[in-house]
Amino acid sequence: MSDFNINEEESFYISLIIQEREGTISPEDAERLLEWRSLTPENNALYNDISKIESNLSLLEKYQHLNTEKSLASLHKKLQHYEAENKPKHQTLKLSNWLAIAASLFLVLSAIFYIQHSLDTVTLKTAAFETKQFILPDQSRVTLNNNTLITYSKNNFKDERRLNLINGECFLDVVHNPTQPFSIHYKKLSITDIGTSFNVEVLKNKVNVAVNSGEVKLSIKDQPTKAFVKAGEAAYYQIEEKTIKKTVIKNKNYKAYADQNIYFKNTSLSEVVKTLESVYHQKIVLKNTDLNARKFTGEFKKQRLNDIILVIAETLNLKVTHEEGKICFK
Amino acid sequence: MIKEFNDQEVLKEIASKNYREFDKLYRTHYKRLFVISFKYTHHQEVSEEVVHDVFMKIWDQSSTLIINQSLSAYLSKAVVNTSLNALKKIKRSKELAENYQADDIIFTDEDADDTYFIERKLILLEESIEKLPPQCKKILFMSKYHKLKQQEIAAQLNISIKTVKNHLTYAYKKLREMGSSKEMLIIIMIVYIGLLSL
Repeated sequence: MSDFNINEEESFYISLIIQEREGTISPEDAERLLEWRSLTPENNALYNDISKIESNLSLLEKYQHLNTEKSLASLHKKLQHYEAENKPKHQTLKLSNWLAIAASLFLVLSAIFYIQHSLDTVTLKTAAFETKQFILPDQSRVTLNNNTLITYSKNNFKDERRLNLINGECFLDVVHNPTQPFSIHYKKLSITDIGTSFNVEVLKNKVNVAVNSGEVKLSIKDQPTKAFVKAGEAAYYQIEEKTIKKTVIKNKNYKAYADQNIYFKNTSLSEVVKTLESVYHQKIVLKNTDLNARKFTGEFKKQRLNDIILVIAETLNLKVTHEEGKICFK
Repeated sequence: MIKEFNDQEVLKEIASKNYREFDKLYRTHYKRLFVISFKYTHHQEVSEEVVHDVFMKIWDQSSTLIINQSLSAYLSKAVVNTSLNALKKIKRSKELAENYQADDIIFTDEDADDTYFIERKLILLEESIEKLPPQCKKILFMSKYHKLKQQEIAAQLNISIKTVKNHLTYAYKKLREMGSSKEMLIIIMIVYIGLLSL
């Protein structure tokens, strides 16, 4: 038999295998295929290979349509549910009677204290994977970036609009009221607004303040240092040194986590990727180092990450792949 | 800026309820683990749940987990076992039983290698598909992804069934050729990794 004939035969049976997997093979052909398979080990190997490719193609289709972020969000929901349900169970106590009575007395007392305290203290909180917006009693708005904790006293808020930033980053859009100043505090630093919107970010050794509109006053407890920061300006407070340094806003996208508005103007692709990673909490990789320096200009208002990725890929003529939970540009 | 942890450190971070590390671990492994589970369950929701269950266990018990292998291998194995358990449960419930033909699943060593490389295989397959001629690729997509029968493809593209057949056959043949040369690469990698761990 010539080579040509072998290939013809192979093609014919591959076509039968495809039909078999599709479920459109006739009984006679099915019989024929079975016979051919038992003829030589090579035939059977070919059959197995084609079947495997076919089932891998089905898997690949599933794989390409998986949405990691959606799945992760639903896992977080389950975890929150699970933790809420299971925490009390861990605390089953094995105590003698009098100890149990003492403990329950203590519990009742601390519950009363806790309720009184918690009735007054309002906690605003985000976990690692979320940003959330809250409306304060005076209609001012605060957007919390991930891992952020803010508290305030409900009773006192009417008289003194005071927030305590315990950790993290937030963007404030404050309703102006000259008779009731608004302030946010982190350790010894206080930031007092004079009708404005601004961003506060707690880092390891400093606190960044960036003002979007209006003006804020920065002051440090027990220190004469003061700084006024206007729209478009920024300042950072160095926690150890207790000093304030003024600068201008260099990163236009500092509040993108709060409003999902992102601007790029002749921005290098490596910067673009860094910004998107921080706003959407998704790992993005540039496969070629020469992509780093490519420039991108564009504006995105409240768009989904996937759409943004597509626009960038189209504009710069790049290929997008998803690998091991990362988005890759090629 | 962002610190990279090794497997033991990752577990330690998760034990101290570091969501960031937990999310990172999930993002790295989710797709691969889903595909592994799907090979057993053939069911989207069940596989999603299997992966979730495994990660919930990690979140809950990371402080007491002792892992003698790489975290990645541990996850694969946990997903396979959880998938098999899920199948057993489903088989018990009668109305679902008929959708499953998974009577003879045994987890072998070969599968263990398979779970490690399945994602790589799929990515290689994806790359191989990209190398097919455009019309051939289109017909393969219609057949596999849109689940169209050969007659339906022929009608839609206004070509003969014979042509559709030829394209499909060519596609599978090429994918097999490209696959076998890449399979060699994978085998070389397995041997290499094996040597490294000696």
